[in-house]
Amino acid sequence: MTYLQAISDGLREELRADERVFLMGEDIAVLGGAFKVTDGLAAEFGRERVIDTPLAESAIVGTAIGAAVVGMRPVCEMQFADFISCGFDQLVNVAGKMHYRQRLAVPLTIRLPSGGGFSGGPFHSQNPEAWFMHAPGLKVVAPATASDAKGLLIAAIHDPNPVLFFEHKHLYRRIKEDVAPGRFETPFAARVAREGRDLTVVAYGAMVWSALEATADLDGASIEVLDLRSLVPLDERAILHSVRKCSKLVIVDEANATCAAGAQVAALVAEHAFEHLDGPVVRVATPDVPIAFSPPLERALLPQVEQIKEACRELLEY
Amino acid sequence: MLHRDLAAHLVRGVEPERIFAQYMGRASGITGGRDGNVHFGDRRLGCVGMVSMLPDMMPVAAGMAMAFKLRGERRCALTWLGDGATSRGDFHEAMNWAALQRLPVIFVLENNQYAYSTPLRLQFAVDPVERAAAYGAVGQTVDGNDVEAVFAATLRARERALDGAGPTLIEAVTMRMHGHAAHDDMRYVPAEQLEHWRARDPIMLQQARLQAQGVDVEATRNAVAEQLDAALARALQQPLPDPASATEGVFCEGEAEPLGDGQAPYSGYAARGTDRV
Ligand SMILES: Cc1ncc(C[n+]2csc(CCOP(=O)(O)OP(=O)(O)O)c2C)c(N)n1
Repeated sequence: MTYLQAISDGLREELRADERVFLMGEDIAVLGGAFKVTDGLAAEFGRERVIDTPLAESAIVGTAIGAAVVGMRPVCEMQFADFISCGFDQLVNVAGKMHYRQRLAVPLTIRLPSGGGFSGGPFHSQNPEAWFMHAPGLKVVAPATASDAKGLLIAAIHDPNPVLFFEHKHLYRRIKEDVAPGRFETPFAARVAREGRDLTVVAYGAMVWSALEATADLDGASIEVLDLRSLVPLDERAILHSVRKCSKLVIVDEANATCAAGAQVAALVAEHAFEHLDGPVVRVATPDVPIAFSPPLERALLPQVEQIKEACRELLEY
Repeated sequence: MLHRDLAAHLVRGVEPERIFAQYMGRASGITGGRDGNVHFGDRRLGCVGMVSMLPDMMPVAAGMAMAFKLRGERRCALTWLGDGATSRGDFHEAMNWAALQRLPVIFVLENNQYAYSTPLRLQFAVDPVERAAAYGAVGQTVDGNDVEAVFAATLRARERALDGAGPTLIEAVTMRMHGHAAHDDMRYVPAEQLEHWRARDPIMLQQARLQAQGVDVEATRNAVAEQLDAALARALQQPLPDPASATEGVFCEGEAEPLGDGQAPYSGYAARGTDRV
């Protein structure tokens, strides 16, 4: 099944198995969502559990928090990840700080269709993961494969904390694989997408596929690709383990470079694996520019396979 | 003036060629390929381009009006929003603020019955135009398919704004006759509802009115079609933007360029000399 179908499947499994689970979002019931992730779920589970909301992100997040603290398991959809900015306050200040202040859990999942590469322009292409990495109390995951999409989503719904689930739009229908039936959890930990010895590429989301493509045949070099899968918690052990083994590190971010997940990885490695490095930490990321609409501009901004290749080559030769 | 009512931009004087170029991501489009479709505003014509987040431009329009008032200018701000957009907090914040400070601002609510697939009955319990009075603003409903009625209502709202009587929320009642976007077959819209509105097509209505006055509508239509064909052909010749320019312009490096004064036909500007919309 596709990455998109795997997300639908995960939602269906949870709706079937746990009556506390319900879905909320704009146009998710009758329409099945802008991307059809929730297609058919309203018919199967009823409009009481698959709810078309008003156009009101702050209230979607806020009411989900309210429902979560009284024992429900809400799963909200942002029509595009970009619109989470309109629900920012509820998420960062109410959800993120709830448990620390009063030991009250907020088992809330928010699905965020993110990422660019299809001329979505500045408001339909963003990768705002780092906004939430910076805010205490929120977990942030971003699957690259169909199995991980399902497993991380189910784990997110089971998690007693607010989890932001970034699903990459570019992967929706491009990524296809056999996905195990039933309910299974994927841990919030990194995954070695390809083992290697000479250089580590750290990436997440769609950039995992770009990294794999860029390093499939790099003049015979043995390149390890580490798929972070989870940004909060960040799998520091897996990152440090891989860097200590390969001694060279390229980090790829589709997000704007400054304070991105990759910046956190670079800081971690500088602090804890400095003496294992055989070269500078190299970052490939989107510059601090809005994602432009016109294809040549967008291509110039988003990390391209060629760029990753070049970065790896240079570092290998260092 | 801010929002995604395409006709408003045309009336303002944005050349069709630049709109086509905008839609095709060409360098000569209004945003030079940085943004797409109707997310644009020609600064020189007094237009601020909208952002996707609805209705983020409401407080911005109120702020423009606040500045006009502070500077003692007889000028007002105008913005559009949809029925769905009224559900967000920014609608409330802008309505309250504008009414509280009696700002010269007009909010045009295009009530086209649907926000994407969401019908009015799932959007609000009380029609937003009825809420206007509770904020201390004027709410006025108008037949959104009658272009002259909309014009008259806007003119009245503008007079009120310039007289210091504060904001107006105009609700133009209409219908979205096709899907939210190309991919949307809008099977959620009942056929009878579409039929009902098809019989009230605003273009047919205005055409009949003009014909009754002896205007050769067909000739005008042909002339416009010709202009548009030519504009499209020219836009297709325009180059895409230079990738090397992709990172330019995030910050203003020189002098801030001003927003134009918005002089435009029909705006009342010419008739009144100093009045600007
Ligand atoms: C804050 C926000 N959330 C979600 C969206 C996604 N979205 C784009 S258009 C739309 C429906 C808007 O409906 P309405 O306000 O009635 O305007 P219309 O499109 O009918 O003119 C939605 C939900 C958005 N643009 N902004």
